[in-house]
Amino acid sequence: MYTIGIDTSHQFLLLVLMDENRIIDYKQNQCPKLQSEYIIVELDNLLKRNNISLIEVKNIVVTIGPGSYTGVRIGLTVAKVLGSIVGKTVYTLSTLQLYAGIKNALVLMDARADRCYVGRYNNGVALSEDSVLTNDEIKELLCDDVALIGDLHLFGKESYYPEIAKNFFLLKDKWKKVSNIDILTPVYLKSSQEYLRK
Amino acid sequence: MKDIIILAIESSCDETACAIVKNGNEILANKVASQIDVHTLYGGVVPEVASRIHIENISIIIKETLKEANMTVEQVDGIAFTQGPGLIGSLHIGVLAAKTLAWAYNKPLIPVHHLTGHIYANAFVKELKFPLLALVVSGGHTELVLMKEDYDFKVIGETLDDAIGEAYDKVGRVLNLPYPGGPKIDKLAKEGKPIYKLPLPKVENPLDFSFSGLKSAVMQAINRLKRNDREVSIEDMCASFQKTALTSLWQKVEAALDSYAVKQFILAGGVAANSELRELVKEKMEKKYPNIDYIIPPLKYCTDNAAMIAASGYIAYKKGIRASFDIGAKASIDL
Ligand SMILES: [Zn+2]
Repeated sequence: MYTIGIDTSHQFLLLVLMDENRIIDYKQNQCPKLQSEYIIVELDNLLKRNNISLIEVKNIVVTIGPGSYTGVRIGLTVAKVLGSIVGKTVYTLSTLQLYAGIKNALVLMDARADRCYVGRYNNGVALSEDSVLTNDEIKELLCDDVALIGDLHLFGKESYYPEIAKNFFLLKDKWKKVSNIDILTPVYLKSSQEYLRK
Repeated sequence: MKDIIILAIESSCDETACAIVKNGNEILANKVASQIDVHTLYGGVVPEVASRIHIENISIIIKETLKEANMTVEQVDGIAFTQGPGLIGSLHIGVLAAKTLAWAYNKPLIPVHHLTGHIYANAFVKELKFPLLALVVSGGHTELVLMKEDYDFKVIGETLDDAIGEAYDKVGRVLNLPYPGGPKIDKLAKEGKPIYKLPLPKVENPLDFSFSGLKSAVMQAINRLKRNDREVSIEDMCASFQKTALTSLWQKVEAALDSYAVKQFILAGGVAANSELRELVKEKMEKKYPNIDYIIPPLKYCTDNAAMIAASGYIAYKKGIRASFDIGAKASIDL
């Protein structure tokens, strides 16, 4: 039985095909804004070129944010339909957790307006809750003891997105099983109250 | 002949909807999750908020639709969806859900233009006759569409600025009425008289519309009354605005009916739920155009729903219109 990992919550369209023991194949495209166009095409390609039919796929593991709102919703919509209607079992990972993998890491992801989503992980476990901080606040947190991952260009360093395909598999025991797929929603970390007309 | 069953998904604005329709006119299930209460709170449709609610509703609405029709996706012949126009973030959810279903169940994927859905909603009332003139009026559109045959759409008149529904919402805001302004104005207008003079919008092409000036005219009229220490009757202002807007609307319809020989006139879109517009169409069509058949859609098919997308999708299916999996949502898209 196979599992498909899906991450569309940042600038990548990442699809990973796994079985119990290993990653079989994956496709990672850098196509911000076009994830919605290509996700089904690439899913179809991924299964076909490995001679696997969707029936043999039992699980979907998807990142649920924080990240690009539109991006997160793309992967999640596909996962919700595959879970609720087609009957696959769905698992989730925090986007920041996926990016951290099993490293001792501080993950920073652009949240626009001089803010970042911040995740502090070690060995796949959150050391603090994912949050959104201003870039000034984050500058105080930067130190040499942890691996820095993500949109580091915002802090004068080279951005770094390490082998996130592999991380899907490495975090296998951290996948969170979704009990009611219909009520699964993205993690935005920013309230829709912000959109109230002033 | 074998029945053709279409499952459709609509998410272009603030309704998450799914429906299953047989042969383009028999509804097997029709579910709509409306967000209207939320957007009333926000004073209008906020795109990000709409997208957030769509993803909350999408899988449950499809599931409930299948349950109501007592069917599985395997049993449908095609998956139709609204490709646009609409709010891009909202459209994405419906488009992706449709693509995922079509892929998982190996079904044809049928892209539908939202406005054709509003037009084909009339197929639930009776058979469409061509050539046909459609007046499509909603929060985002005011268009006169000429159809020489099934699925042949030619826009012969359109708004140069605001859509009529948008004008209703803006005037509603000027009058401090809660969102959405349309139904409230329609209701209050019944209790008032059109005593305030508002200028009829002027445009070059006799088939085109313009409504942005009407909001300013209402504001000016209110200011004038206030300057003269006269009380503003909200009911009378609603009646005056509605009369002017609908008079202007109908002028264009008559101009179109007089210049094109059509067999049928149909009303479509959210604003087709306006009670005065419905009466106006009935009265004018029967008096002035007794030889032209006309359809006023039932209220439940005026607002956004997926049954209408399935009805349009059925014709598209028969015409062989298909989408590939790389199709994307389009915020604006021509008929
Ligand atoms: Zn509509």
